[in-house]
Amino acid sequence: MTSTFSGMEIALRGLTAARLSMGVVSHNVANAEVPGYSRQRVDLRAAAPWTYPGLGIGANPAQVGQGVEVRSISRVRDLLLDRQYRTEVGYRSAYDVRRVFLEKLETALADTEDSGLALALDRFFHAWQDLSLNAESISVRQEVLGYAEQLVDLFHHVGDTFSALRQDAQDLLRFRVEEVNALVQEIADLNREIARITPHGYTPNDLYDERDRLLDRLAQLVDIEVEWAHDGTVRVLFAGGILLVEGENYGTLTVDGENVYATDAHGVPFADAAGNPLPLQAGSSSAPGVLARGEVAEALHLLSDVLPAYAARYESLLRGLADAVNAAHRSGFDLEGNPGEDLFVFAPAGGSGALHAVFVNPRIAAHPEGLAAAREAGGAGDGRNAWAIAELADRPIPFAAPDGTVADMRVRDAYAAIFGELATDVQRSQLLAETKASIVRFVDERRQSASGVSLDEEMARLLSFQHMYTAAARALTAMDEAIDTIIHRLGLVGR
Amino acid sequence: MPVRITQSMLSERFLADYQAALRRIARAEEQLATGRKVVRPSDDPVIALRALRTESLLRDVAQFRRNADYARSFLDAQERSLAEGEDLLKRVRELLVQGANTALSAEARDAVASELRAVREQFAAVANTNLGGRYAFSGEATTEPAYGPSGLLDIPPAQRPLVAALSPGVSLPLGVTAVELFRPTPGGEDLFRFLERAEDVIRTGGDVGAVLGDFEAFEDNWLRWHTYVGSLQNRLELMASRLESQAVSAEKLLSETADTDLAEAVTRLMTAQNVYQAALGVGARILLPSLADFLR
Repeated sequence: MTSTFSGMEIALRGLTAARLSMGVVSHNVANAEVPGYSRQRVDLRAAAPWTYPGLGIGANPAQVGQGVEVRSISRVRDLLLDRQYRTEVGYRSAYDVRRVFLEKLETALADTEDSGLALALDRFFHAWQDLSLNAESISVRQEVLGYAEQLVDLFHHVGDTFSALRQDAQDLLRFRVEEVNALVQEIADLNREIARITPHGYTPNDLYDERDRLLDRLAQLVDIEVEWAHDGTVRVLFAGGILLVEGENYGTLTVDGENVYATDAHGVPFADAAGNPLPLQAGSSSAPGVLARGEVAEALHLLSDVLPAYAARYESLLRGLADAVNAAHRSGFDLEGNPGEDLFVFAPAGGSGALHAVFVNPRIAAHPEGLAAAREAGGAGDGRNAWAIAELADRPIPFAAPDGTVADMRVRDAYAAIFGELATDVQRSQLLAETKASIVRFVDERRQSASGVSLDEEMARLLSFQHMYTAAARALTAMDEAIDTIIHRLGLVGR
Repeated sequence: MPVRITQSMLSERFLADYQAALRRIARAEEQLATGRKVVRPSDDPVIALRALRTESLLRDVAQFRRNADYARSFLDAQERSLAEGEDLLKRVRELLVQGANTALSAEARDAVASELRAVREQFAAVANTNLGGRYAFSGEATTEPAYGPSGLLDIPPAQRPLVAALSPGVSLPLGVTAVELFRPTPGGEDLFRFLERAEDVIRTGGDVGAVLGDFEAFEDNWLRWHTYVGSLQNRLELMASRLESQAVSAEKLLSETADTDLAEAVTRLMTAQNVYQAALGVGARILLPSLADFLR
């Protein structure tokens, strides 16, 4: 036999559930535009029936339900999409960084109609043509020297550009590593809070969202893998399996110049067998210590590969040009009948960084008669050697590639090759960045589709919960009236 | 599960699309404003590379023109001097013929001899023709006069005519040297010594007939070199005209490669603008309402 008041209790449960649901709806609406927020849903279920069949139980025709029960409030989120998003966003950020750096390089070194290396090379060699027709003219000699200085200035500018980009990449690396450290600490903090809450049976949805938002950002910086633990905390691994976060413990990254060293969540540095710390590398393998994606990986890649490779190509151009011009210049005679000296000198001689080290021979710069325009000593108007130098512009000369191989080509072709490669690389990085960005947009849209708050939907749910509330209140009133009948109307016969 | 669409998805997609539309406008605008199809090399590496080479070619052609202009002025100066020398040679022949007249008085012979001397000095001026501070007939020794107090300049550089390199692989000798012009036989007598001798012979009443016989070699030599310089001028003009057509075709190539096709760019700008306006219009419609607007 059920209690007299059980119907009221059922109605009350309905009221409570409806009110709670409306609360969740308004929480969703309030957070509709919060980045990373996942819509929440109240899972309602029918409460367990009151009676079970048994010997002492009177035979009721059926079990009477006990109303509604709130099982949980959960967030609607697809963890698989999170995983996809974090992989793709890592690639997108890396390509974006590469694109930005290559575009900077392109802008700084671009040839226009009135500036650039192609123009400076042409002017330099054309000045030698002028000199070949006017070998004894000091003003033409000054002009040749002026264009030689322009050419040297341009190579200095190229060198400056690479130094500046290197500095930019180092700054980026430092800032991003600091950000990784901050994010990792916040994630570990959230892990701790979550681990304190979940044992009590609560689901800290909003903390999960916040942690997912931090993980999304972290995925833009390094190549993370996220594993869920049973207590609601996450384990974060990166760079081929280095443990970055476990529970409330977190690892740290340190930057030393152009190297990044990692210490994992247990405080163990990433090191070789002998215990010497190893720097992290950028690459596509999944070996330990190799960062596959993210801005940190790309900053390392730029510093170790992309920028040095380009700088080396410009250096090879400069060396080939300077050696050929110097050799030709030495084989001629100056206005005073002396054999020519080197026109381009490197200070200090040899070594790397030739782009900064090249200068016009100061003795010739101060004394234009020193330009060796003549093939034979004695003829002031002899411009045959000047012509030989001018012709170097169209004659294959040896260029040593950074790997030591030597290829003969024309200066212009050598420069056009660099120019074309840079243009193609920029275009390719733009294309890759754009492609990955559209994949990220697509995955994020899928994620939004699952987790995003639809105001219309929430309104519809609000209406239905409102109706549920009204109806439950109506049921309560009905019960109340029924009981009222018993209490106030019964036993009044003959009064 | 069908794709759920939420308000923020709509607004984000709208923002992305409207950004794309704006980028298209910016690109068309850039092409129109700069007049170039390719503003940055990465816009189209192939065209950019072709433009780079063509611009280089144009600069080469401009330099080639400068070289040719210089060679022309140099050859013109020589040619003027050669023509003047030819008149002088005619005068020498007249004087020699006059001097050969045995009936001439000593005073008359003196007058002929003096005139010969004046002509010789005039030849010195021809030999020392100067072009912007350079001696045009001194070969590579352009700073030294071809004829000085010690006679004809005869050092090795003076024996080598200048060579004007006009463009890679194309060069042109800049005329003739005084040594070649004034001395028909290598190591032999030059015109100045000959004129001195003729002057002496006429003044002293010697055998002018033999002198007259020697003179022919000088005349022939002069004519030969004059013709040669004329042929150099012709060659130069041929090269220059070929150069002009090369310049025109290079300009045309560059313009076809790198210049914006105005009609196309304007059309693209208009299309992009339409798309942009449509995007704004649609955005304004879809971003406004929600179910909340229609409740109660």
